[in-house]
Amino acid sequence: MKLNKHNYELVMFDLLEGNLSQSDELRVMKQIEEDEFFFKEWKLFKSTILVADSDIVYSNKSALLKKENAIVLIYKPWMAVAAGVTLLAMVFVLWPSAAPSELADMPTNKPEEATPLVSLPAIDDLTQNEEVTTLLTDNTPNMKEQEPNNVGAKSSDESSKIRLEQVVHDAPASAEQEAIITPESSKTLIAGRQEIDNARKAVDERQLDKHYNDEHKKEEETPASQQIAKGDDVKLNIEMTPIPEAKLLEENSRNEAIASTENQTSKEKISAFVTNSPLERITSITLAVAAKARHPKVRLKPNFKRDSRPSLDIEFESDGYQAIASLQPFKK
Amino acid sequence: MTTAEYNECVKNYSDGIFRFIVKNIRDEFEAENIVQNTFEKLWIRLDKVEMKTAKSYLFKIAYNNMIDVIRKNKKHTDIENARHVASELYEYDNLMEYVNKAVSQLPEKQRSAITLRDFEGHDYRSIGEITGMSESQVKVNIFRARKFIKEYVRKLEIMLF
Repeated sequence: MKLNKHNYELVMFDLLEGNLSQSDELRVMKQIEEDEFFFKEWKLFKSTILVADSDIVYSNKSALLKKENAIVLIYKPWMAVAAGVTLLAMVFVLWPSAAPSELADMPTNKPEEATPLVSLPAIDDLTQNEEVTTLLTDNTPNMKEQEPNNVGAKSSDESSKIRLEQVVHDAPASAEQEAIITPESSKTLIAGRQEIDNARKAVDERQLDKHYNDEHKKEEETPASQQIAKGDDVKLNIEMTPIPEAKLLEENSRNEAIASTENQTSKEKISAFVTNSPLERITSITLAVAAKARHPKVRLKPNFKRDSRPSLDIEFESDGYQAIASLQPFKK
Repeated sequence: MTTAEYNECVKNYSDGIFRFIVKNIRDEFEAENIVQNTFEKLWIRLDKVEMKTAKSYLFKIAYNNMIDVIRKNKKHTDIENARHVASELYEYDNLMEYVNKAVSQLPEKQRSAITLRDFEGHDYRSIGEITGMSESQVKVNIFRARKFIKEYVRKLEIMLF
């Protein structure tokens, strides 16, 4: 490789950059030393090598250093999407369902003001607190023959009409008091629930009427010899567990004791009779009365509502008369 | 890359990046910001960068940041250059300062290529990766830069002697 005025810059550049082989370097260096012009040019070329200034240092290195046990936050695009979806879901879930005006109308949790939901009397309580007057009609004279030992039944035989007043005690508060405490919204709620109950009753009545009509048709279809004449014994096809004789005797003696307490008011009698009676007592008496009635209808209405104690309402209806008994097995 | 390796990068390359930026934009405050941004980006992408490519990666980020800053301040830089060009020959009595002044007047690509080459010892391929140029373009740019500096220094020699 020979230096000349046309190529010396390129050759010197390659020499400076270390792009030449060792032999070429030696050869070029020899030519540079021999020629004054090339020597001056080479000197200028050498001055183009930049030297890093060691005084220029980055002073905030400590701020860039990380703790070696630091958690590395790794960002991924799908993380942003997931976070967005989660936030949206939370907004939908936690967003108040009521409008602000509705929220403002809602009662505050002041201690003197009971919240409507807690103090709201159950429909069942309201109906139970009402004085229920039932009339049991018994025109059949065969009650004695059916249950000769039943003194309570005897007494019912003797009087054509027995007025039963059922007052359920141990109610949390009277309906009137509750009505005073609760706001108008609770009244509307009660009315709504009563409507629902009435609708349910209507459905039950329709089903029972249908059942009664079916039974009546069967009776009409049966031969005249087999039809039940007026005054004859009526047998109901209601399944019930037979009551042990010992239990019946015990219950009869209790009924006698009740009947003998003439000093007690009728309300006290009924209260003692109904409240202290087990399920068998009520069903047996109900069925005994029903056995003597004409076209009897019996409705059993179990009530399992959240705000009230579970109870069983037994409704008996015959020829326009109605008797209602309510049983609360879990009541002390 | 681990956290320990990241810290090693900070210790080994932060000065070089800072020097490279300062030489190119002559603004230490901006250079500090660029170094900080550069290492923040490395920290975010720590799991994707390997130690052996970390140096090129860091200089590439720094270079791109620097280009943004240069573009942003281009008008300002041009005015400053025009103001000082008349008196520059009499301000420097040290050859290195004069050369640095010549470097500052180089086109951006030539300046970046020659500073990366001389300050950090990058080869042509590495400079090409950082600046987005081919190896031959890098070589041409470095050659033009050296030629410019040589002529610049020649002017000083003429003035002095």
